[in-house]
Amino acid sequence: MATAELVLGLLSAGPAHGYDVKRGHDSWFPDSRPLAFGQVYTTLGRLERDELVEVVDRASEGGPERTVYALTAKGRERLARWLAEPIEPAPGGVDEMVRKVVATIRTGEDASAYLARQRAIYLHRIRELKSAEAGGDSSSWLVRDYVALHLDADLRWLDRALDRITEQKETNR
Amino acid sequence: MTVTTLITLARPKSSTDRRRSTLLVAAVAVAGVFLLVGQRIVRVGSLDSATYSSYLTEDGLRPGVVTAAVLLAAAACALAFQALRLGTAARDRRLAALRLAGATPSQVRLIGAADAGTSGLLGGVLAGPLYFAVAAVVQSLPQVGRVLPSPAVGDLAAWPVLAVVLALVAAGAGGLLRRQLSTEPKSEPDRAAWQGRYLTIGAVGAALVALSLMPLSPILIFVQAAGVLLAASGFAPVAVAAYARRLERSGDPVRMLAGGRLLHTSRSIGRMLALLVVCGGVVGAVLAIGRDRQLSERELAASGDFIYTGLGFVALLSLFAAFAAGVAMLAGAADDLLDQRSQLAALNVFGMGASQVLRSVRIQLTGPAAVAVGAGVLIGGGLVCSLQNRVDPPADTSSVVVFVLIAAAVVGVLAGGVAALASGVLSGQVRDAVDPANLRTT
Amino acid sequence: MTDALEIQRVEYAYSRDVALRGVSLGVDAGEIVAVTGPSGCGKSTLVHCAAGILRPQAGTVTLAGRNLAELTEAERTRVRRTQVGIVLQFGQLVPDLSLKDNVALPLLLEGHHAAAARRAALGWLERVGVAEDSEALPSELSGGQNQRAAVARALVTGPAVVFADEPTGSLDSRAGEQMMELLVASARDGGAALVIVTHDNLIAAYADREVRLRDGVVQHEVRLS
Ligand SMILES: Nc1ncnc2c1ncn2[C@@H]1O[C@H](COP(=O)(O)OP(=O)(O)OP(=O)(O)O)[C@@H](O)[C@H]1O
Ligand SMILES: [Mg+2]
Repeated sequence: MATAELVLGLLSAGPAHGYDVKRGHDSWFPDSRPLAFGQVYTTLGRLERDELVEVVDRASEGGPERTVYALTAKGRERLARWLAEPIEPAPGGVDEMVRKVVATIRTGEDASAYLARQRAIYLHRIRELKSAEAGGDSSSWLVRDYVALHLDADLRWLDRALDRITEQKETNR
Repeated sequence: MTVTTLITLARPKSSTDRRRSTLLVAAVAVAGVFLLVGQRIVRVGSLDSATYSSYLTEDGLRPGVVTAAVLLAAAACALAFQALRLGTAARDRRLAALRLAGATPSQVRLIGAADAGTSGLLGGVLAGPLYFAVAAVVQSLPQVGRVLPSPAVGDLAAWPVLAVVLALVAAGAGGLLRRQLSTEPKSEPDRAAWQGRYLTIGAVGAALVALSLMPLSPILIFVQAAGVLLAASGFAPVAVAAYARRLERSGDPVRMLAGGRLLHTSRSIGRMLALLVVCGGVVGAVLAIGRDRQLSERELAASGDFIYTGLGFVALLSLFAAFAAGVAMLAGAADDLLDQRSQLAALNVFGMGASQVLRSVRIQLTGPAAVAVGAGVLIGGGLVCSLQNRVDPPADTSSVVVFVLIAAAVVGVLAGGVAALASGVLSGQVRDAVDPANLRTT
Repeated sequence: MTDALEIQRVEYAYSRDVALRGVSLGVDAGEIVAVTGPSGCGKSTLVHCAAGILRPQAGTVTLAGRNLAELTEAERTRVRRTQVGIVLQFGQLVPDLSLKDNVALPLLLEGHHAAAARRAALGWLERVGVAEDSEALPSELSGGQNQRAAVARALVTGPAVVFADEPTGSLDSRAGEQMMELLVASARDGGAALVIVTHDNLIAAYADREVRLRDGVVQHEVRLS
């Protein structure tokens, strides 16, 4: 998880408190797990150590939530570099769903019943994502689209897998 | 591209394609026959007036026969051109697929030219035997009907030349029609623009006719005929478009469907209607002359055979031209049905079944054909009346005028009836078009 | 709740293939059902049987309370005209008529007054967002715009069921989703049930229920709402 770079991104609009950083993150990713306060402050501390951010204002009564952080030139550069880098395709990692389907077939369970259950729950989720209207932050639909399209990809894989299994069964018979 | 590839790609693919090329070959063959007839008469020397009709033996009349042959060839060519344009939508899609597969525009043109050229050549080759057969038949007629001399050795030389010329002309036309493929207009390019152009053509034609009607006008009868043809070609499409718009506004779905189709084919339908106007004109003129002749027993006794043979031939020939125009219109309508089958199948879901679609086709064909032929009779008869009036001012032509008016109505209604009956030929195509299986096609 | 559509053990065979081998399916009023399944599994055939376009060889289809098998061809046509709306992959509008006339056509066939029919057509064109092109010909507009007009044409008679066979098949995914949103909203608007055939999971997800066909039988049926 590139939390450090994300925090840099959250600071790119201007100096902010740790609390603002957390709030910003949660509004960027409304459907993901919220960022923990502890994680915000350890990250900011590490970034300050690496001279990627600097403290521009520290309220006298102290407390970390009163400290205002800003990006340094080095931090800005790091953020730009991160954004410019494409993501490597995941190396052969196997998803929970793949394990389940393989296990279903190997144990002789009913694969098409599994397909029905999986389609019901995924399509239902896609439906929810679609009906969540563009409320709140303007970028949240981006995340929802991402999730929906990945669910779609999983379903298509499942369809194909079960189609081929059925064909094999029919030819074996 | 090798020659074999070219031929494979150019050959007709579907049954409709084959029907289209059969029509094209037949039309070219008929045109070829008339052209061979024309050249034979042009090259003829002096003839024995006891054996042949005086239309051939008198120098003054011979050019008229040649002109008639050429006009008929032109009518057959119009049919051929129409056949060439048939199935354009389906064929364009196939050629567009060829373009996508990497054929250059000039290769696509070449395929179009090869397709049309082959049919042209075939038609030209068939024209020879047909001509000799026609000539043989004419020789067996009584003297008064023999308007064609027996074939000469020269015809054998003219035939292959003609076949090549027809093939080249057809290839040229085929290539030209494919040219539009690269810059395909999305729909009616500019409604106002073409109507303006056609109205101008019509006005020129009308002016020619008007000039010919002036007292002591030097304008000849052929110029008058040309004027009528120009006026009809110019005004008919515009009139069709206006009628189509009225149908479209009517609010009756069957009439709206007919109107929409007419509006978007008004130019090609208009061309065929112009041909019908001219045919009607010939019939009108023949009727008026015949009616007038009946008044003077003296002339009839002297040269009745001569006059009636002439009139009969002319009437027959104009019937042939009208037949060609009718076939072209029917073929066009059949083509539209095939092209719009998925839309018509969708309409069928909404309750517009085969009988209503057939009625809409009938509306498209019947009214315009009836009006065109009727107007033609009126024009032809009227021109003859005015001519007679000029030749012999004191004569009373009012009975002929009344006769022409009645004839126009009767012949027009008759033509409409024939068109209505003929559109029944399409009932099979209509049923195929509304079949729900077509909902799957694009 | 009254059913908009009730299909029971419907069988249909073409000359060469058996397309449906006993399919049953009920659709409630106002419900949205997605019919999915691999190519050639019989989705279109099912829709055509349900819409009264094809006559199934066995089984019954009850549309808006009328058993289609008991009706004459004329009555069936009337039921189809008043109770069924259909949207196909390419719109299938009459190319010679303006969008407005295309949409008015079902009403005119039903015998409505021309002016009233055209007013209703314009109203629907407005709702689907192509009112400014109401005088244009289908060929002058994009596939998506044509498809919107086809939706208007399907809904103009106030049908009980709208059938859509791959309505988004010729559109890109974004336009397809907008199209689907429009279909769903329009069907709600007109109080119609919607049966939509699709290959696309993202489109199927708009439905309340998914019915999956395979080789002419229902493979599964799951509720999504
Ligand atoms: N007009 C027809 N004549 C003969 N067989 C047909 C006809 N139409 C469809 N079929 C056959 O019936 C079966 C079902 O076809 P149908 O069109 O209903 O499938 P579909 O699920 O809609 O497919 P797709 O997703 O490709 O549209 C197929 O096997 C097809 O080959
Ligand atoms: Mg289908």
